Amino acid sequence: MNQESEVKTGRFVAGMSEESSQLAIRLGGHADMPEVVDALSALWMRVHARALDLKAPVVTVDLRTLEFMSSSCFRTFVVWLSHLAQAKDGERYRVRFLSDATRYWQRKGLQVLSAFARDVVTVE
Amino acid sequence: MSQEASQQSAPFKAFLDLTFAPSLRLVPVVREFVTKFYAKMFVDQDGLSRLEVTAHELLENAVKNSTDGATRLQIDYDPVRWIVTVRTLNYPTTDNLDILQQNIHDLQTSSNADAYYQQILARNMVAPEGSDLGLARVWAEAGFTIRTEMEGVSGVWVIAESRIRGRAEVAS
Repeated sequence: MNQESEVKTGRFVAGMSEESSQLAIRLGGHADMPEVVDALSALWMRVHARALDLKAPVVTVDLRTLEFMSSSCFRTFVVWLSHLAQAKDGERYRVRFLSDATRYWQRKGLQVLSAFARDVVTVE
Repeated sequence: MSQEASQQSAPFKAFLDLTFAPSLRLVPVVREFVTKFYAKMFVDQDGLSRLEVTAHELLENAVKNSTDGATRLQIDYDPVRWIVTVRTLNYPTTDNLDILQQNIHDLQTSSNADAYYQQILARNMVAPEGSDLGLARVWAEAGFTIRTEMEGVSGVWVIAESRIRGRAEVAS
């Protein structure tokens, strides 16, 4: 079954879709306001719970239309990954980021994030 | 040479000085203004992106720590040396000033920017949000140096500096 949901907050949009055990998140616009931090924190908790339910091997996060992300919003990735690190070995899924290499902040920021969590994060 | 001709041939020093109400809602507005303003000066798109990150993070910190109802931003660009200097001024509480000074001291004494950034990411896995991730990002991701200068007794300028290649036609 293909299910989709979307969160919109000001100039930020996040879409979540799932098909069988595939979970895909798409972020777009500007992640730079306090309410986006709250929206992202809630989203990652929902994604984490759903990925565990589905026994998803990979969660894909598409950032290619995300124009800007503040460190407060970027920090929500780190908190999500800390929850993932606490999952049991057999339940741990991988996080695959799809990035726009022409955006310097994505290139450099995701490079640091993938080095930080190299066991679970890949960047394309 | 006439005064007008002299002005036209002098290097065009793009600077801005802006004071605004310390609202997190205004930070993206100011950041986007800064980005559009300097887009005309730089040929280096990565440099423009680095400036965008730096302006946002310094402003967010300044707004969060403001106690006097104002946040001030100054940006200077030297078109000959290609040096951009971003300065934010605010008057934090004594405790917040101590934390800021400690964070900048830790960053300046760290020998490896990426390793320091990862150390801060690890701290942010468990700690409540602070200013350290934004500053680490400016230093390690955006590649700006960071220092502080006191303004009077309780004001503090946070100063970030980097080299960004400018347009020759702007500098000449």
